[in-house]
Parts: sequence; structure tokens; C-alpha cells
Amino acid sequence: MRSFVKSLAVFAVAGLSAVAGNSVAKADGLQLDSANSKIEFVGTKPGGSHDGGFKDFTASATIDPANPLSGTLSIEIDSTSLWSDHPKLTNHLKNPDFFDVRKFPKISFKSTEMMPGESAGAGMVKGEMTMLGKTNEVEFPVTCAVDGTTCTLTGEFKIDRTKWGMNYGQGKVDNDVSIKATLAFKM
Amino acid sequence: MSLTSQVVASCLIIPALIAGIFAWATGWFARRVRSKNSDGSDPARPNDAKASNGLETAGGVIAAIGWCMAMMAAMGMRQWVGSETGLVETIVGVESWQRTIWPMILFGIVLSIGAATQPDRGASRYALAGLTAALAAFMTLPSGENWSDQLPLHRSWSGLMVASCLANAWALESLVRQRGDRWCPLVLLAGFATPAMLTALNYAAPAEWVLASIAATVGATGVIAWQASRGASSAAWMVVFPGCVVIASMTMTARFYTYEDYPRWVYSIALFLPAMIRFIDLPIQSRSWRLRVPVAALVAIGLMLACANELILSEPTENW
Repeated sequence: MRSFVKSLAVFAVAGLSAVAGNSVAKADGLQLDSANSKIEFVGTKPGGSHDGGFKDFTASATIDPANPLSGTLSIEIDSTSLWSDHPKLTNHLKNPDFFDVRKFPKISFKSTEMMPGESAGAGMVKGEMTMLGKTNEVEFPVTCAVDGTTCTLTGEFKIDRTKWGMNYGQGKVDNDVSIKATLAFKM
Repeated sequence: MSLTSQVVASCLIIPALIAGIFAWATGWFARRVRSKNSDGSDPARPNDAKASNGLETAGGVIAAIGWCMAMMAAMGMRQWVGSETGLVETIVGVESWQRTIWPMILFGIVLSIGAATQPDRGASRYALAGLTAALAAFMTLPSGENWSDQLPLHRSWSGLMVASCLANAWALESLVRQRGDRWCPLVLLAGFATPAMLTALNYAAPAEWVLASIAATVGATGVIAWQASRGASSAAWMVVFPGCVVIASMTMTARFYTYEDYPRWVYSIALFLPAMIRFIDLPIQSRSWRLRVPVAALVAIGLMLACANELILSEPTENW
């Protein structure tokens, strides 16, 4: 079981950049509990910040408990499902200054490598994240908490939005964007 | 350089300087021509008897082209420089609103040359201007697979954009013909207000371009006022022609890039404010500017405030 949880932590973290809302991902018998899963981001600026996230996504995953490091995860976000804590900000974020959801309606992540962490229930995921038509490698840690039949994976990391060509407002809006994902899997 | 510094330099200072320099050149050109007129007539007004001589009002073409150069400089500094797409694609326009610059120049040249050389043949040059406005609408409309849900709006908004360009250009030119050449750029400035609000609320890059058009018009207007204070006039008022395309195209851009439902009357004011002001001015056009300008200002301020109240003041004041 310990090995299983560890493997679960490893593969699920790959979805950190994408998981949210109403989607369902199955991974060899594991099903994402969409009601308790979410992906959010925090954009900051000098003197303030705003919360946001995505409501819709799809995901596919494979995992072999005998060889957890061979697991894979692919996630696709519907960028038009973007939300934020301010309606006018949501409007602006959808336009070409930021996510350009008309031209780039999908954000995707595909894991390329799973790495074990130093403790049980912790791991690292490396993968390729495609946004605004550009693909960059991202790597981030994940932790897993087991509660009954639910394994909740949580990960927090930052990306530099300008690496994907999201350059608008530099100086007014910080380049680094914090991403926090919570994935709940039914075991 | 910070974003604010970049915007101030690229969208305020540089466009104002370029448009102002060209407007000054227009006045210089007019003075040179006027000094050669035996009767000393003013070539700046198209209803002047001497204005039928194209050479005399050709300076207006200089001002219109200069205004377009100012807008091109703003586009270049904020959108072209540093673009990661190919040079040709960048200059032609990656985003649909960026492509407006080319038909805008064409529209300005067609009408300013027409006003300079054939002031009494309005129908033919406005017909040609209508074609360039239609081209502007075609190029400005965002299209493609991802915009298919907006296709039902294309026909009506194409028509609105052409109507806006022509109605505002005609209104401003007729204002000049009724001794309003020194204050008609102010009417154009008022016309930028609502498109500026609409774009600023939704899409910052075109909002910056509207800001540049305001700065360029202020630069030209400042020179016109300065020349007027010295007893000279020029045909620099012709900067209003390309400005009419900016009003229409940026309003349309704001409409297509918003996810909010703004009232139709807001779009109507955004598209037709200069024509509305001219319509109010018609009954009093024979009166002194001391009456006409305050009336026009009251109408403009009232309409702008109504839009500002609907778009900005009635919303939470948080700055995102």
C-alpha cells in the first residue's frame, strides 16, 4: 500500500498545472473525484494579488503499482473555462494580453518523468506544459495524504508566464504565477 | 524601462510629437502658399475660393499622413518591436485589430487628398472612402474557426463600421466647412473617449493604441491652436479622417473581445459621437463659435459621462 500511495503521488502531481472543476480522470481503476479536485492560480502584482483557476479539463493517466516511476499523465485544460475573483479581470485574462483563449483554447500538460521523493507520499514530476502555442518543461513536487478511500494530492509551484509568451504587463503584473492543485482520487 | 514608461513614451510622447511636427509642417506649407496668393486668401478651408487649387490645401494631406505615421510609430514600438512572429506577419498584423492600420492610412489619404483637390466632389471621394472603410471592416473583424460563434455579428458590424467611418468623417469635414476647422479635432478627441473606455476594460493592447490616437490628435490640435493664436491657420484638421477609422475599428474590436454585454446605446455613442455632435450643431451652425463650442462640449461631456457611468462608475472601483 505504501508503495502504491507513493506511486500515486508521483503520477498525480503531473496534473498540477491542469486539474480542476468537472473533469474525471481514470488511472487504472483510480477515479478522480472532480468535486474535490481543483486547480487554482494566484497572480500577483506590487501591492496586490488575484485568485483564479480553470473549471473544465480532461485527463488520462496510466500507472503500474509495480513500477510507479513508469506512470504517465496527460491533462488538457479548456482555457475558456478560466475564472477569477473579479469578472472584469476574467474578461481581460481571456483576451490576447494574457491567455488568448480564442486562439489557444487548450492548455496541456504531459508528464515525461516521475521521480520519487525523500519521504513516503512525496514525489517529483517533470513534464511538458503547452500554453499559448509554446511548450516548456516544468518540474514540481507533490505530496499525498490518504484518508480512508481517498488519496488527496497537493502541489504548489510557480511558473514564469513569460516563458510561454505571456508578456503583457511586465512590471505591473509579476511574471511568476503561483499554481496550487488539489487532486482527490478514489481508491 | 517599466511598462508605464514604455506606454508614456510609445503611446503619448512620440505620437504627439510626430503628429505635432507634421501639423506644424502643414501650417508652414499653408503660409508659404498663402504668401504667394495675391489676395492673401486662406487655403486652410475647403470652402475658400482658392481651395480648389489642390496645392494650397495639400498641406492637409501632410497632416493626415503625419497623424498616421504617429499611429504607426505607436504600433511599431508596442506591437512590432520584440514580436516573436515573422517580420512580415508582424507588420501586416498578427491580431485582427492591428491590421486596421493599413486601411486607416488608405482612408485618411483618400479623404484628405479628395478634400484638398476636389472639395466640391464629395460623393465620389466618399464612395471611394466607403470602399476603404469596408476593407477596414473586413480586415478588423476577427475571423477563423475559433470565432465561428461570432459570425452572425459580422454583417451588422461591418455595416456599422462603414457607416461610422463615413458619418463621422462627413460630420467633421462639414464642421470645417462651417468655420469649425479650429475645434473639429476636439470633436474627434471626444469621439475617442468611449472606444478608449471599451477597449481599456477588455483588451489593453488596442486600448494603448486608442491612447496613441488621443495623443496624436492632442499634438496636432495643440499646433493648430498655436498657429491660430498667431493668426495663421492650416489644413491640419484633416487628421480627423484616419481618426474616424480608429474610432470605428477599436469599438468593433472591443465588441468582439469582450465577454460582457454592454448596452447598445453605449456602442452607438462609441461609433457615432462626432456625427451626433455635428447633428446637434446643425441648427446653430450659423451662430458664433462662442455658442457652438459650449453646446458641442456639453453634448460631448454628457454622452461621455453617460458611457463612463455605465461602463466604469457603476462597477466596483477595484483596480485589477
